Amino acid sequence: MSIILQIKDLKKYFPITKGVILKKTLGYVKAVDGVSFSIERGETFGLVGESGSGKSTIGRLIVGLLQPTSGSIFFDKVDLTKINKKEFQNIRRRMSMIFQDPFTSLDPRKNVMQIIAEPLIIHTDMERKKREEIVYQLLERVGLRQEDAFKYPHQFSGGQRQRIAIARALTLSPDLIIADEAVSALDVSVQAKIINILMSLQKDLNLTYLFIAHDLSVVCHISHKVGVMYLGKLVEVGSKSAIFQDPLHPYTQALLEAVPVPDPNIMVAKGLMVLKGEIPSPINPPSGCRFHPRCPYATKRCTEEEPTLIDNGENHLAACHYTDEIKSKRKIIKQPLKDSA
Amino acid sequence: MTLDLEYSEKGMQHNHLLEIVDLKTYFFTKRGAVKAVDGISFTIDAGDVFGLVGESGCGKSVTALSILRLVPDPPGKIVSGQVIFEGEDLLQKSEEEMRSIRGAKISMIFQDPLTSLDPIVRVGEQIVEAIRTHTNMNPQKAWEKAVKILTEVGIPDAEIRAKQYPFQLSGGMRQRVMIAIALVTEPRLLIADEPTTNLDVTIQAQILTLLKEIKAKTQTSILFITHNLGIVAWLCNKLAVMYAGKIVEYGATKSVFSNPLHPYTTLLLKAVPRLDIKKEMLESIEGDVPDLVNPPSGCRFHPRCPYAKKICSIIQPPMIEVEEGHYASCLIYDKEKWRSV
Repeated sequence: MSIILQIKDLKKYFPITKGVILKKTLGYVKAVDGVSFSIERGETFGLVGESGSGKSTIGRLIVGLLQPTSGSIFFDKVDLTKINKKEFQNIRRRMSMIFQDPFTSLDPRKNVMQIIAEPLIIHTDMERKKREEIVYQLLERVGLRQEDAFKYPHQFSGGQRQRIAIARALTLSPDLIIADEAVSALDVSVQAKIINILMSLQKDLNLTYLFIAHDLSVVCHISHKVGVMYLGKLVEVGSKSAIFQDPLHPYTQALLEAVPVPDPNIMVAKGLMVLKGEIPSPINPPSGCRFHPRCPYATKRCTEEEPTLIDNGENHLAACHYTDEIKSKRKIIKQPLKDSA
Repeated sequence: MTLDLEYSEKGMQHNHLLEIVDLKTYFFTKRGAVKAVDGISFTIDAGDVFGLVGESGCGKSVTALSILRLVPDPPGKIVSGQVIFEGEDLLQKSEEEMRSIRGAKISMIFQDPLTSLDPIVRVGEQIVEAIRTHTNMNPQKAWEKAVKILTEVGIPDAEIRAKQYPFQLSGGMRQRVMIAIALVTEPRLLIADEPTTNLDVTIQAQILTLLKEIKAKTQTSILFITHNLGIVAWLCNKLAVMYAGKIVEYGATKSVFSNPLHPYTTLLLKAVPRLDIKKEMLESIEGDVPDLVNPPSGCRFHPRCPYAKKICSIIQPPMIEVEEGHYASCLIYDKEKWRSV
């Protein structure tokens, strides 16, 4: 397998300004603050995190909807931050994006044919007949009928619209698809169908997904590798089984324990783990480890020294000073320990 | 006081705190009557946490609004049925009588606390308003009580927070304020309509834990409306599953999850991606939620049901008690009719 996308020390700071003419910068929202990871061809990389963790910003930086403050993005060994506009457009067609809300991401005044064929018009000089043929094929692929090509978005249900969005994302046979909360707005029964479509498309077309979502169960189901974000930082990366069966970072552990599972027997035994406090502001993130104010294991060291991602074997990285200690403690005592500082 | 006594006496005779009998709420639109809630019955006893589950558009929120008689009229109208609360039919009450019940005996919390709190009134004042609407406590005492209840729902520095406006609080905090307003009058029934859907998982876990603590401490019963089966499994002791305006299954949480009877419930449980179970493919339900202006004849689920026979499109299945206290509305359990065709 080869690496298709590699992100190195990516940063995106949004300035907070005051005044209209004499703009003064008061500070920065550090939405993404030094994130590195790589995705291999044909796999699904799940990026999870709560709101404001910076996961969507990463998606937008990759496709060029935002410009990074620093760092680099290598797509097929080309650094996207160092090339000119024309070169970028050539590469850009090899990636596409699916958004959360199929009600706002499709142009209401275009019919399905126009929506799906638009990328072909922009990036190729294909004839109309050929374009239409491709659109019909794509519609079939995502489980819609040919007759649907001349309907408008409002004539479809949410699930069907998301199929249209997927078809549009596939138009230029991309290598990488960035799905930003692509199934979050859908009902469970419809969501299952869309997830199945995404997974079978991946098998058939050897697609690579960057799957951005807040729903851990969905990410667990669809991903091969998972990255967990907290407040602009990647706190843990690893294979799906490593993250979900053997989480090392206390935040990942807390996140997993906070998800209610649809089985009353398990829930009675396990309960919900409750993490204290809330997500701090990314304008003035906590010193040291950003998770320390909420962490049940935090010590004085955590407030001063920022942990880096450390490999714990088999490409399972976690940014915590105490992974080993927590691992042993967690097995003996189920209840998290109080602050020992 | 005499009024209160009457209530409790009648409540004792009936035993149920809330009994909904064949409730029908329709919305009259240009396209025809949307049968949002179409003949549902269930009961909530004192001390119950009752889960009402279903996908969007199944009528679960309209049920809640019908109980409080808050259905926007026009276009909505409660066409028939009874909502018997503490022995009295709320549908027969005058608007003035209803106002003394809403917020006092039955309170409600909504999904989005930012739009359901008044943006230009300090949160403490909003709690005071709830107290003083239903009692003649003096303002000073009411304020003290407001601060006290804010502390009880887990807001740190309640005295300072009470003087703040909703925009100064985070989403989780706002939902706590909503809960405080709902509970300050010590209602018999709390209706919670998707109260954690907009919140992050760790915050959701905090709010759910708070509701469970309230349940343990007070006499309040809870009607919990959600699409999340995991939450129901953890929080509720009884549940009803709604589909297209009807209740399809009804019973104790443990029996519904361990032995789902209705095909819709079975499929729904299989469609949920889970953290604790590995699934190759998710079970999805074919088709879409039906149009409630012209719902399918017979069983409303039959066009999507893998077991459907011809008879399912003719006969509307009644609620059948399959196990003790566990009902399903599916003809599979009516052996005579099922075999006859």
